[in-house]
Amino acid sequence: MRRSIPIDSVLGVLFALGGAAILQQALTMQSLPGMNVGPGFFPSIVGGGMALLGIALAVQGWLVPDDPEEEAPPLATWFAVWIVMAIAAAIFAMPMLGFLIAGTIFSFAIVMLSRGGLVPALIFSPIATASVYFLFTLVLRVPLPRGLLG
Amino acid sequence: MTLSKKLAGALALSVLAIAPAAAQYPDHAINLIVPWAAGGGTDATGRIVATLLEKELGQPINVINRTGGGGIVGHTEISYSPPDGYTLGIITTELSMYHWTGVSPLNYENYDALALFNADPEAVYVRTDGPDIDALLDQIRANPGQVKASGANLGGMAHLGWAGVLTTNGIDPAAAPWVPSEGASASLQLLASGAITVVTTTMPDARPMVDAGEVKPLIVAANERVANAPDVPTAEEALGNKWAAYAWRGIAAPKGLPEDVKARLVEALDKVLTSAEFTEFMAQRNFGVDYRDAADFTAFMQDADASIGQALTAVGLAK
Amino acid sequence: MEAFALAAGLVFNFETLLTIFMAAVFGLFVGAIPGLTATMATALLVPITFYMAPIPAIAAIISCTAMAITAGDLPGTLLRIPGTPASAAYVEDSYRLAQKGKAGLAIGIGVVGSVLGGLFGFLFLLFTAPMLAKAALGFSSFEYFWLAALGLSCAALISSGGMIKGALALLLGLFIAQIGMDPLTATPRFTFGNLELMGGISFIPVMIGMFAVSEIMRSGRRAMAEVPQMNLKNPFEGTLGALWKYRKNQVRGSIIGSLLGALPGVGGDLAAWITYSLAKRTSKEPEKFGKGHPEGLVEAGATNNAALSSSWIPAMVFGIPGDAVTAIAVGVLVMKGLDPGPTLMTLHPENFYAVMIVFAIANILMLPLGWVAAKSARWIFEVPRALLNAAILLFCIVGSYSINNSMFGVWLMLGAGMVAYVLEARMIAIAPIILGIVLGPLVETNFTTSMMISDGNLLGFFGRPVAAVFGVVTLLIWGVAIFQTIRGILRKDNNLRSASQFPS
Repeated sequence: MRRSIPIDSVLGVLFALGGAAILQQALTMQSLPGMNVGPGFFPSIVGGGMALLGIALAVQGWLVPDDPEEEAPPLATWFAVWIVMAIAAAIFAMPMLGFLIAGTIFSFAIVMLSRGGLVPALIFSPIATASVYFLFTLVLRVPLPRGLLG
Repeated sequence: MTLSKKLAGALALSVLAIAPAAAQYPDHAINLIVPWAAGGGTDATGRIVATLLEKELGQPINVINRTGGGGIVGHTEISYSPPDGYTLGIITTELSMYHWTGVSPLNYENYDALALFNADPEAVYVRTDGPDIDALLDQIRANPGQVKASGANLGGMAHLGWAGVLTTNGIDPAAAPWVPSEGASASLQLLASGAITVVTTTMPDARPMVDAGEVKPLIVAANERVANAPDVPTAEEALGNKWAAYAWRGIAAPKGLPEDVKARLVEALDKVLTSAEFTEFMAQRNFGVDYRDAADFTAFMQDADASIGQALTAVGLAK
Repeated sequence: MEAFALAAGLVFNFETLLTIFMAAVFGLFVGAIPGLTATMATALLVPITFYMAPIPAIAAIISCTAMAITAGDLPGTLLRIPGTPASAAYVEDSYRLAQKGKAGLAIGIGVVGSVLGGLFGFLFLLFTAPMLAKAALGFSSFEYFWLAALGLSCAALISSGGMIKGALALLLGLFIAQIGMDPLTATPRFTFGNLELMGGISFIPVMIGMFAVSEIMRSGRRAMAEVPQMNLKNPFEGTLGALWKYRKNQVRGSIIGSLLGALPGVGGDLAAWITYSLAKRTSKEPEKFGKGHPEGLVEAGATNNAALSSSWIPAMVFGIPGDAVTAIAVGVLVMKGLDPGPTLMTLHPENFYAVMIVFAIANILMLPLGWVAAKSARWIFEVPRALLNAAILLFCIVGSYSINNSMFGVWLMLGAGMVAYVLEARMIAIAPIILGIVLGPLVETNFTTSMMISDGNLLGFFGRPVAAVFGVVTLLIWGVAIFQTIRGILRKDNNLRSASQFPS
């Protein structure tokens, strides 16, 4: 049986590298006068631990292969990628367009992405966005961005 | 992020330019930024000021807790906001420290001060079965390093208050080391459990523990005795050396407020902060009222800035 | 007894009862909205309490927070968005139960278990409050350090993907908690000069992202109700049976919750995690945990509410608030002339008892309100999945934004969602990450404080009797776990080698 590189090992190596970076940063933190434990102490433990366990995970992933009966779900689906991009776009758009406009476009996009159909999307998006907006700004006093309508 | 902020700023400016000149300030809701968490003393006092000011100005005031970074995040946010009178903020003691310790260049010059409304002196507490102030200082002189003190974070006002008690009496602050904690509650708990000997904190924070008979105040680092605790001597009365350390809270706006807006706010705040409702609230919560108007508040912060610089240098934390 | 009668008079009048009811409905409403917290509900109530008489004012705060925290389990059960760090301990079980068509049972166990836990806490406190408060006051940073370390160990050890993955998740959470300014020295760490990062990473956007956003990314196109929801007439059907079956867990959870809840600061959050892992360790079917098994849900749910009642004890007896909610409540108490402190119990015992009675009422009120909520919860399963996705994400965005009124929270939510999506695909549990974020600062500050007190001597951590016991227990747990993991890996490896000799 030909094996590809186990994903756990890849994750383990990523964790190990991240841990090493944390450790490196932590070691540059200076102790303060009068303190026997500096601000870098715990981060170095965490960084070091992450590096060691990351290596352990990489080794374990290599030694103990995936259970072939349990079909692992695909790591990324197009749907997941689109969701992430939609949220990112909403974050950029909201301060400019305001919550009402950006939120309506966003929720329209999500409904369409989830195969909700054009008509429900058109009806639902403005209503949902407006309800959330008024609930948060009027009842809960969270000042959501007003953007163009401000 | 920055690009979007710039764009948003440009858009906001163009909208402002098109809109007709505001008829009468304020014509919509005002945001009041509190740089500390909901539930703390700054939040409590900030909310009462907001509630009363809301009635005075006739527009809703939203209290926003912008926490984190030892208050830096909120303080910075206030200073960055547009100076149009629709973003105000509560500023606190810590503002005088940031630029000395080098964590942020912020100082009082980044704000248009509006009014100081609260100042509480730091007081020194020990367990009820603990020593009096003379015995305590003798113990520190005799066994340097044995007595541990706490109250809040390293380099905070509680720490400086304690260091000042030591230095004004000719003792090296290192002789009674500071155990940093997350705040007054945590330190009082350490004191009650017998893990440390001394706590410095403000009187409202320690009041319940004093009433519970767990801890007792020795001296208060104030210019005169505190009305709520007339039996506690000042540092000068007890030890002969003058020392005062106050934690304070005031209200301010970003630098560059238009004159008419500022005048309106100063006038409204004068009414609010001298009102019976406000003084009653502060007395009930044991907060000391120290009302100073815009000019006095600015001078006050100027003085505080200089004296805190000296204190931080003494404990070796100034950069 | 006279005081008790007086107290009953203070509570059982129209004004107070109406206030309790209104505040409870408000708390239910805020708590059930994903991303909103009990702290927010309480802070919004404060200006209103300015205009109330003392007992109704404090009653409003109590019933609102109690309800908001219990209602926080609703979005957890239905949408996998836990309301509090404590409910993150058992959200996996309640969500899976709902996905199996047993949302009513999950909510029922949550509500009824909470009510029983809360009432147990009430009775317990009625007799032990002053003693318990005194004992809690004897805890110094040494004891807190070990307790927090014990809590962290639980999270790493109970997670489903094995110890290495659990520990890695925990370390990731600890690292996230370290970003920002060190609470003791105000040193910026891992901030790279960024102001928003200096403020630290608050756990709510991370929690929303890791649980809710990742869930939508994963299963957003699947129909919501693959299995039709059962028991529509009586949503709580089967609840009492489950509670009776796991009555031992119910009692144990309530006792541990009442005890640990009295520790200011750690109480509730920690207790639920400890009892959840205890339930798993002592269960006959530990393999079912995290897949929709009621046992841990019963125990941790009871703990959560029992701890909620007793977390008010240090606040009321010594004025030491453990969290933002009790801090706000202390403020209201003081403002109304009911200074917290022992005088509250000696001079005005009727006020103290009145507060306790309000607790009992608020807990009992949860039954009908929870029933209505559970009954209407099925609507969520009838909303088309596409519309639900959009609504959930809108709430997630606004909830994350409202934590600090900044888009930064939304970025955090998105980042956390992506990380959790990848990790969960590889069986790395995300609950330990959340616990790491919540308990990380506690472990670190108490360790640093203790080191300062003991002049850097590690033996100081065993120098106080209670601390020594906690310390030995924690070290033992880790020793056993490490031993088992190494043995497990070696065995599995051997099995594979022997298996590979046969063609399959």
